[in-house]
Amino acid sequence: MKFWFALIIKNHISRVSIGILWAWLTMISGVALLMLSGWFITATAIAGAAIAAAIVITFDMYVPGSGIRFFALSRTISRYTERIYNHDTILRLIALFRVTLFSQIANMPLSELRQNTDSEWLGKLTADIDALDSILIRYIIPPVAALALILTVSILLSTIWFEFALYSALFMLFTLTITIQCTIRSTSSSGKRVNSLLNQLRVQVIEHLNGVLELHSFNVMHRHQHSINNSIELLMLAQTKLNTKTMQLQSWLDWLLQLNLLIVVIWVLSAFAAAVISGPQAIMLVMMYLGINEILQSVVSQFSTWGKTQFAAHRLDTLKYSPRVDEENSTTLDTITKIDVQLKGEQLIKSHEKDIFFTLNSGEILNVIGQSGTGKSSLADLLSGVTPLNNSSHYIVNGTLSTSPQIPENWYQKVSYLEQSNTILAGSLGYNLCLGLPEIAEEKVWSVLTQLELTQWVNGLPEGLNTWLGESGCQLSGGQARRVCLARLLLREPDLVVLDEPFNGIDAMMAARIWHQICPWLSSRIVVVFTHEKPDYIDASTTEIFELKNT
Amino acid sequence: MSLSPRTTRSVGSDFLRYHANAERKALMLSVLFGVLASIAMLCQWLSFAMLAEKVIVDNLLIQEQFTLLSILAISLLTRPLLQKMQTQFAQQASTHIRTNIRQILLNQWRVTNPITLKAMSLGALASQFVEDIESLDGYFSRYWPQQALAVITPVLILSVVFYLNWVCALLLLISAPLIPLFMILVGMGAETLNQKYALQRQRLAGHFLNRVSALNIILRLGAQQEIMQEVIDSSDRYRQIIMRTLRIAFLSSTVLEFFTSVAIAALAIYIGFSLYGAITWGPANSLSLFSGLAILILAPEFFQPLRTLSQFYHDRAAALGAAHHLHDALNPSDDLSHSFDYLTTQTSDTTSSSQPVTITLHNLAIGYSSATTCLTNINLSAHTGQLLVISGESGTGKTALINTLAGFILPVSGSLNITPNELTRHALLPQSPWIKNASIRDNLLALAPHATNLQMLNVLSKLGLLNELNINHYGLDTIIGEHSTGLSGGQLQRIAFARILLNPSPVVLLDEPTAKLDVQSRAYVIKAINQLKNVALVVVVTHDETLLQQADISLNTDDHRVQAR
Repeated sequence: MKFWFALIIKNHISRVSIGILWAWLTMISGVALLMLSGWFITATAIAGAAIAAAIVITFDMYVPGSGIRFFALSRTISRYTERIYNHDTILRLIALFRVTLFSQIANMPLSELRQNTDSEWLGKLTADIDALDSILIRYIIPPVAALALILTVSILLSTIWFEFALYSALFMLFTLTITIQCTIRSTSSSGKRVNSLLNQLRVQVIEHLNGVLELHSFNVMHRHQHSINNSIELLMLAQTKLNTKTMQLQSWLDWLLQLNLLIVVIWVLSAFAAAVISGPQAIMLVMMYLGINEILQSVVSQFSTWGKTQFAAHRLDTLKYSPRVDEENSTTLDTITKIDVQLKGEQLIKSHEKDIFFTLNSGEILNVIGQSGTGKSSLADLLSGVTPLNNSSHYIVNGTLSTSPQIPENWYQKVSYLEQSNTILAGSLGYNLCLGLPEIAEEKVWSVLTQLELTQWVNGLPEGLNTWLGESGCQLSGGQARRVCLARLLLREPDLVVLDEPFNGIDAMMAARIWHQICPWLSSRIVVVFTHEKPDYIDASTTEIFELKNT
Repeated sequence: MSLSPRTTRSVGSDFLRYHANAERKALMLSVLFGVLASIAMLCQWLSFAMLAEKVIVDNLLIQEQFTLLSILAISLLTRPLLQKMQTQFAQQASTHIRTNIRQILLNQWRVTNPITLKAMSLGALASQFVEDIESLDGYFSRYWPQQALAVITPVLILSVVFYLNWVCALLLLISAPLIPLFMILVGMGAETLNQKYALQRQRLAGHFLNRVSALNIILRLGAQQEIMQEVIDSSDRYRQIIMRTLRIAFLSSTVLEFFTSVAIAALAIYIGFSLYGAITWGPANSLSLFSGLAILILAPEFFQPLRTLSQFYHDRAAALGAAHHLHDALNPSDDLSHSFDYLTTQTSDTTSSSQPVTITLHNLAIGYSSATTCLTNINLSAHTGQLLVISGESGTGKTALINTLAGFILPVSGSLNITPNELTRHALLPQSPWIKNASIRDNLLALAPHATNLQMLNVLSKLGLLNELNINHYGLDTIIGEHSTGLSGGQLQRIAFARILLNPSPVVLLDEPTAKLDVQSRAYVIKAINQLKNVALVVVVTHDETLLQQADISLNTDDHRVQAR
């Protein structure tokens, strides 16, 4: 959590300070309103009694009256401003957290990234980011503002009655610090436990439902539920424990504050009797504690989420990867004209021979064919550098054996890979096509769309290239999505093109036409096409065929 | 079936009410202690105000006010206890309700057709089970009791204030209904703004997750920097839109704050002027420091329950949404699944009966629904001791037939008879078997709960797994599943098959048991299948030549040809 604390302070110190100032202003207006009101009615009561007894006194009703109205207004305004201002800060912080995380996740090796980015993982990620809100709105602003309030009130008070001011300052500081400390200490472990149990429950439920076919047919579904039932029970216990601890702390705190109030009532009334302070002042001091107690009371509930936040921060910490490219060892590639592929003992790729060797040359097309399950996509992942090679496999690029296991820095400028699945980002069509190519000319986009026979479709869209695709936008058919993904590649100038089932979801006639139209673009590059069987559009006489087979 | 917002809300609130009723006693106790705490609060401030008058106005000695001091002390010190009880009972009710709903949902899954369950998103089901149910907490532990207290406590305070001074009571009484009125007006304003930006907000809210999920392609297209800037920009635009709505939405709590502050100020000034003698009409003359101070202190307490309720209001909104989902999950519409009556009535029977069984298919037509019939006119009969092999091209309904035999889908037409008909259990090995993230032992025990260590080791050695597991791994304690890398697909397939051998039923259904296996392990499995014939009727979906040759009856789904040997 330290990391996030530091991040907030480092980036938004002034906003945080101003937020604290507004919170302090809200608190002090509330306390002052109560103090002044108490002082005012006691003073008027005494004055009224004096007048009734025909003693002539002068008492200004109007200054305190307008003071009361002022504090009533300033409390409302500062409260509203504080909430608006601090929510703005929170939203800024979320942006900061997102960017920080995004750059951390972007450092992950691609192979690991692919395993992680399922919707469940993403759901957890948002929940964890949201949990970090607490750092600002619970752990920074309220306690610091309360501290400032304690100091202000004590200093002002010391001009009236020094002993009482000293006692108040010590009591309030003690209560604030001890409550924060005790709450963190006694609830954070239970809080973490509750959250890890919730997590465990989630994993167990998914596993249980995964096995539902077998569990049902073997008629052991009920028995297999036991472990989930156990976790539910454990969760209930842990939640009860957390609740009990929080409740106990809360009632200790309430009790302490009430006891203090009792002491204060007796003390100030005795002090009035001893003529140390006046009657209005005595009531004013009690009213001050009325306001301050309300602020101190909320400390327990503010800090009882510490464990949850810690749990979230801890999980986000596991995403920290050291930068993918080591600056000193990074290599860059010139134009790739030739790759010798030497794969030894790659488990997932099925072939007649144990080791696979082939050479790819610029201007040549290799068609890799194989039934499903023979490792086509695994080989495509290896060739495009998405999954790393094992230690005994190598690529020899342009005749030089690469010594570093790292992927060269500009590898993805040289290599384009059309994956089996289509990824359409939520955004406009134009955005999807030109991703990573901010300066591309629009004519080029249209010429590629023409090659892929998409022009008519795009012209028919409500907003042409600006039509929103993906979530909450226009839905694409499988064939359209495929061609949009293919278009992304065609807008680039890679040296190696890896196409995994390029015409999935596209009928054979159109596939042949498109292939013919993109042939000129392919002709100057190394091309590897993965298909189930040799497609008709590929000319067998000029294309090398490599077959993967289950042994 | 589309639900209008109105029915959505009522379904959700009916669900919440139903479960609140189940824990009515604890929730009522919570309210009771809340009321007692309010009474303690009244005693506390009344005795303090009285004490203040006696000491400050009447100049009596504080040491002589023993009764007032003890009332003050007792009420001051019992109030936290009463508040604690209030929270405790409400939280207890909430914990019980959540545990209860989880158990109901778990049992609901048990009687739901597994094919239906498999077709749903497991992540969504799991988050329903975890997050949705968790989000009910605030409703039961905070909102529900506060709903009652937000009425009872202000009424209590109001009657005390009324007794002390009716003008002040009237002032409070007038301001109280104004608060909800203003809050509704503000709420409507916020809602209009909300709708205005709904689409933009939805797009921006999903932006970050969408880009993280596409990071793989983003990195490969070299657009990392571009997207980073986009994340910053869209977060910023999102912030601006949200802030526009919040500026209005926060007014609603400001209304409450405003009334609280204004009420205190107005009362203080009225009381002050009355005490001074500047106001003489109405009950102003009867005011004393006691009644004035008491009213002043009780004024914020009058608004406090309402403020608390409005803080808990989002708990209610969250719970209503979740309750609606849960209601649907617990009351599935009938067309989705046929329920599993036979499974609910009988206890889990894991011992295999030795009675021979016969399966007879007569003019059977199958499919996942009558519109998508994939196989028709199947006629065959098979009994214990036989091997029935189903083969054919992919997509011709082999797996659908297995699912029909397992009872997961009902025949479209024709009949499927299994005698004896009390048979409730099949040993099924699906095409991609279920592997738990656990030890091999736990994986075996999950489906064969009565297997002993010795039996497990025997079966593993029969399938040629034991040596490999003992030498290179940790035997039965080897952890397998998603995160293990040590075992191959073929080995996992055999571990799944071992469960069938450990707990066979009179009907054994195997979907492609040898597809992922090499020659040697295939031989082990085929040998074991032949041994299974002694105790069961074995149905296998396969392309395996060896198994096809050994079939007693074979069914080809391409041409519906049945051959008996």
